[in-house]
Amino acid sequence: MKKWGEVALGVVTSIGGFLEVGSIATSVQGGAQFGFQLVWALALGTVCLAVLMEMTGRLAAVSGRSYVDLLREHLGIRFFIIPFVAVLVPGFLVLVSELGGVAIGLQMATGIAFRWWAIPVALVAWALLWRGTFGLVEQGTALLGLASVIFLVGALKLHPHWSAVGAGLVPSAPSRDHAKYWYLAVSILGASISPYLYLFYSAGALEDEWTIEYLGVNRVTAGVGNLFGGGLAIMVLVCAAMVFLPRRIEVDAYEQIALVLATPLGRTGFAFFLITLCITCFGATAEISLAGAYLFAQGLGWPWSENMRPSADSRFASTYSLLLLLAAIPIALGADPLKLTNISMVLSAASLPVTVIPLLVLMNDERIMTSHANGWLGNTALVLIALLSIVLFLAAVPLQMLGG
Amino acid sequence: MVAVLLGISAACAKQDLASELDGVRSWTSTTALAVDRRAAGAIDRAVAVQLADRAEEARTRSAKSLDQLAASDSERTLATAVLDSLRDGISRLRAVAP
Repeated sequence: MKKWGEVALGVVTSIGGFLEVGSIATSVQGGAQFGFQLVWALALGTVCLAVLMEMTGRLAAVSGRSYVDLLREHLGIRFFIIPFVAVLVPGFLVLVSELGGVAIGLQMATGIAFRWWAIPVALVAWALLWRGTFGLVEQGTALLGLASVIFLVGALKLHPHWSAVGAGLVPSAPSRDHAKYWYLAVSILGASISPYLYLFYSAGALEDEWTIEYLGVNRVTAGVGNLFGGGLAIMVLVCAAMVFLPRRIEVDAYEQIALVLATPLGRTGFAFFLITLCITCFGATAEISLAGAYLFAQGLGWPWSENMRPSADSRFASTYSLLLLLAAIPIALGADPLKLTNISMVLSAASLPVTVIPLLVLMNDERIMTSHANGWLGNTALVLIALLSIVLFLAAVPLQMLGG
Repeated sequence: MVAVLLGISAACAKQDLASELDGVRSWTSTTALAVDRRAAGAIDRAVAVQLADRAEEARTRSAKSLDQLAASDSERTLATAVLDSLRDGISRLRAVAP
């Protein structure tokens, strides 16, 4: 019974925590410019993320070590430097973008310029991490993030042709702006499969003290939670396609995105949009700061746990404190949050191979996985994701130049 | 790396008249939608003002670009009309967000 409670909580956490600044911005831009044509990118990204989360969660539950721990221990410190840098750089930019998302939400709510909110938001996030536990950070923000279900209400109110939405699941070439189309597809995939998401999930499995008995919980949480979370991201795209595409509005600023729910749901939609933007981005800010601290601590062999007092894992606590402070600086200086979001999503996509390909090795190592190593189905899925990650790596920067 | 990407993106940004005009028209549509939503009480004054400010910035940016991109008289006339339309949209938005 307790386990089913954990399953329900895990699923709800995945749904509430799925949307963040990257998925909102890229889904809105995709819907505004290409209607339902990019639904496939969201669906593909969601499936890939579910597979990667299930595997990194299983790896942690079976081995009792996080994915980052195992990367360093089994592939050596020299190799580890590559994924370390490749995850840290885009991860930091995503952190800046999330902080910017909260700040821009507060700007829209109060009229006070977003740059003034950067330091206060970073301080509140820091206080949550310093004083809170892993459960509070993960589940508390995700439960509040369920406000994002408003996008489903908005989509239903807009009465789209659901057959046309379904047709978007099949990739099709656009009739115009090919570079922009593929650039947005890569951005959507980068937002959906950010490495920090599954590295955080893997560390979270250890924070929650998962063992082999939790493999069922892991499978349902990763599968069902992401399925519904990805469904919400599709609803964001549907709303944008119904509101912006007929008016030929291209989204260049977050202020435009505020209109997406104000159109079908009036004032309630507008208020819920601001709440959703602030809460989901705040939750992601806290999680990415922790993910960065996990990366350093696990990679360099420091003591770490969000459930420990900061004095017991001072280097871990100092790392997330420093990351938050550094992330606040570009926003306080007035960097454009939407441009940063787009660039960080493309860089996230480009960084995927260095974390996906080693997972294939670790998931087949029977010394680590014992009888829970990947079967042929898991390996096929992981090989396909690895191939996709290589394509994204090769395409990301040229597309940023041509379509960004 | 980010600085390099930003630099390359800026250098390679597609500079053609049609896309620049589409950008201006997009902001004109945005102001029209915002006027409608503000009149219905769906959005706050603060957001309406911010949208007007962003539209103004876009108009200033595009006016400079269009000045260089419009080669013929007919293109210049078209660019002026599109920019005027956005200016009117911004004025209407400012009027409903006093």
